[in-house]
Amino acid sequence: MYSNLLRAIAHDLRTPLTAIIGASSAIQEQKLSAEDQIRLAEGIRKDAEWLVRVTENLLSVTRVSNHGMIKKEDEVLEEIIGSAIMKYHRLPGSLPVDSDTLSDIILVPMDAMLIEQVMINLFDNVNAHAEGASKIWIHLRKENGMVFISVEDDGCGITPSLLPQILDGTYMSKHSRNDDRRNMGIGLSVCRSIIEAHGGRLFAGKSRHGGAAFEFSLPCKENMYVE
Amino acid sequence: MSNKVLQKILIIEDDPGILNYLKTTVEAAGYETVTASDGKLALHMITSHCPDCILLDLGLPDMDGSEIITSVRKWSLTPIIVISARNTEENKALALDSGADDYITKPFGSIELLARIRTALRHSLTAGKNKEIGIDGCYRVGELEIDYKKLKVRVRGEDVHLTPNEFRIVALLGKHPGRVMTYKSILRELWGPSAPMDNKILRVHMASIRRKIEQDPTNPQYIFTEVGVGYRIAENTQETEGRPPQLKDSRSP
Repeated sequence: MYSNLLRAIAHDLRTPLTAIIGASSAIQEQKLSAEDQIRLAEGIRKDAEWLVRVTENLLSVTRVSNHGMIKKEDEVLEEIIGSAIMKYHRLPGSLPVDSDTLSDIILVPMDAMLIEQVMINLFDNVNAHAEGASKIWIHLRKENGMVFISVEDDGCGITPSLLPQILDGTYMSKHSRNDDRRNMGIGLSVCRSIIEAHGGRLFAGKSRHGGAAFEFSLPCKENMYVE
Repeated sequence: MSNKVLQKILIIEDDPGILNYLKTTVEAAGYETVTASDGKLALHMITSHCPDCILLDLGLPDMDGSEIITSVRKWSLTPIIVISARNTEENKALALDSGADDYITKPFGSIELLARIRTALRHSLTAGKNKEIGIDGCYRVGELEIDYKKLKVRVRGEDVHLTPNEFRIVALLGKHPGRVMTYKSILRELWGPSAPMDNKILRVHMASIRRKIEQDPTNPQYIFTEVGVGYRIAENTQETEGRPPQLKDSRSP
């Protein structure tokens, strides 16, 4: 597990770093038009933003890896979903997100930063892999003391035979493509360890909207009715 | 603009790369800068330069950032914007509770940075009072209206039925538009110094408030959650770059 993860990380770091060094050296050393410089700067920024996301995932892993040491607080689910959507929408190329609302106030004991990270990873994942996706849906349901949060899209979907590998994080190492950044990277395996540390599970499947669905469950508390 | 005395920004940052970025950006926007790379120097610069605004990186080598804030707040209301890393919500909340005006999370772009500086400078001119509360005693933002005279909240002209505590929360946020109020500061303000430090009560109240004033509680237009830190009510200003929810329309380039 550990060496797999480290390999995935090294992988996720090397490509954007190469691009950043290349682009910045070109700006310094070559005679470039203003437009070219701006274009290269845009590339640097995009790559750096990617690196930030990788680092944030790494930080999340360190927060989870002290078993049972997650500091959970009762959070209102929609606040965390709302905040994750807002952060995702800061990223260039983000898609519109349509979330179910529940009339009940659902309290979920969680480390809010980590669950927010899960949501952002799943949104990011749509951008990276769901070819043709135009929108993201969040569907919510409550069942037997668990809340199920499903992030779905209308993109190309997942080949069923790949599902198990995608969820256990081995997909990327076996199927490296030319564009390395298009890999699942560590995002999904981080999601999984965060969710499992909260006593939930991550599932993948087909969406009612035609694309992929990633659903996770979390133990939640009784309904809080308000007057 | 050109013959105006430049406003002075003190940048307290120990990393040369980030300092270079901050200084270049802030100067290009027409401010004068002074810099300090550690806390001791920073305190000296604050007294000798009297900056109009302070950018403070919380991770300094020699001193805890909140120490600097506490020390400045003993004698000065100069706006302080804290620069902090993600995953350090406790530090952000502590910095705000010690008297910082705002925080910005690394990494951030130049548009967001400058918007925060302008907001901080603007707030400092109004000395913390919400000047947008008109003579009619109302604060309006979008279609939300907080009526401080009649103690009512209206959305699209319709009265919203808030419980007394819910009204007090909204009213408190409305007095500080655009500013993050920490859970602790809200609880203190509402329930006094012996307030139970139970964020859950506040969260449930907020969820209920959102159901009454927001069309879509997962996509709020008026009251935003700063995860792990507190809440912030929307501000009535053209200056919206770098601040949600307008971000959806004007994403950082």
